Amino acid sequence: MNLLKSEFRKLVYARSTYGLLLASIALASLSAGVSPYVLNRVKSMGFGGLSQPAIIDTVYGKAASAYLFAIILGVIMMAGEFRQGTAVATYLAAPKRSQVFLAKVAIAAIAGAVFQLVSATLGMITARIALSFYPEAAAPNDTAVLDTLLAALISGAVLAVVGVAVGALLRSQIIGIVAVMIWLNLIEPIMLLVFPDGGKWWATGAISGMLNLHVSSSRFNQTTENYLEPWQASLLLLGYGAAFAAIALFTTMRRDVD
Amino acid sequence: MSTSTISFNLLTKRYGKQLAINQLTAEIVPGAITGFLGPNGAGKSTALRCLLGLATPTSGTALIKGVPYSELHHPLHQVGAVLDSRGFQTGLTARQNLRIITAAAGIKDSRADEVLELVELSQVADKRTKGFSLGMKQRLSLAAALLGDPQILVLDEPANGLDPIGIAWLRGFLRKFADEGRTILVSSHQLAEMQHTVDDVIIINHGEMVVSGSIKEIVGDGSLEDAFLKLTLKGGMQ
Repeated sequence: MNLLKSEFRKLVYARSTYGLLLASIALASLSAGVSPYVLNRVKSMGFGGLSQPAIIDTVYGKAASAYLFAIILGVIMMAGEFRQGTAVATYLAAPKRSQVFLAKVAIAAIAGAVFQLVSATLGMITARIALSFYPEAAAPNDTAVLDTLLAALISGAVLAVVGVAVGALLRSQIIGIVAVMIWLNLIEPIMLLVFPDGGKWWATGAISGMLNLHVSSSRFNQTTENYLEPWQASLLLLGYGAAFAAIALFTTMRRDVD
Repeated sequence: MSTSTISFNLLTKRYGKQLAINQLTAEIVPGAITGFLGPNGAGKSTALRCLLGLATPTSGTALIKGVPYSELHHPLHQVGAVLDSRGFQTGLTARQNLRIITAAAGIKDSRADEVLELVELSQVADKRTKGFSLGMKQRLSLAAALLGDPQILVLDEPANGLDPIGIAWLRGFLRKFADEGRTILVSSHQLAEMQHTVDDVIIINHGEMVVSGSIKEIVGDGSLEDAFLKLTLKGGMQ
């Protein structure tokens, strides 16, 4: 309990936490807010128009797209300890490293989930306002809002844990942030283009699966039809989080603290 | 039966091919200030990190009250440590930084204000540490070490960045602490200052013990600097 309190204080005292939250809200709102315009413009490319409920679900789903900030938060929570040199004070106060790591993972998961829930909620409100400018826009499917909130909750919690793990493994805030940005924004999209059928197994594919989207583009040879069911995708993402956390805990227990 | 509170027993630490500490054996007793001296790279900080559980010995042991640091019950109530002047989030205030530690160690928050008063930083308790001078950071590090009102202090170069008044204050503080029967192990390369501060001396060079004993035995009628240079250069020649 003491360590949870300490980790919570680290989070709420740091101004960077609030900066990241604002950035997360801005990205989610921007993504959801402009997607009606973008999807309306590219319907000739094979994505359907706004008159299709599945496309409207996609607009709402964009509200859960700020998961990058949850993973960055996790990286900063862990790698920041080494950047600022506070890891020494932390381990002197609590030398059982596994307990420190688990406390950090728990607080990161809660914070990541809160980040994503707040961002997704405000993003969906923005999407709704943006869609009101398109009279032809259909209503979303009944489960769209709940699917988006669940995807936001789980992706925020898990990716923040992955961020903590990446921070523990790399111990460099800059390298950690760059690594997760390259992974999510470059490697996964490229792999999706090269291996379209494998997309569902990637982290971003799992999040798409949780959103329960059903969109296809013949022109881009892209479809979410074969993606995992939301519960399967959730389990896959949780598996990613557990695997990263286990590897990071293993190394944290063995490496010296500089 | 040994009266030591800190003991190094054949402590060896190797980083790849580099031997940082080689079979260091020493005991530190309570009620005295023990200086841990050696040239840069002698292995002082490595030995202290092994003692505090931050680095794992390759072989041998570094124990506090007979057990590794990680097995101490409520460690901050038993050992306070200053390893360097980093260790604080620069965006947070002095009080916030200490309250993160009090929370982790289960120490009441009011103790943060008490130790800030003790190290004479009360006036800047709500200032962000980003603007602190090196001397202020050293005092804050000492405040953090005192949070648990420990019986043992382990200090790595605590006088770094302190002005003459600060150094005199530190000397008086350490003497009072030792006179209360507590244990102090302080590493430094400020030999003139150490001569006026410590009761016992451990000198290491190239990771190996050169000499240990009371400062009177080692220095005799000369200065600590003379004795140190003689002993470490002799060790280096060998």
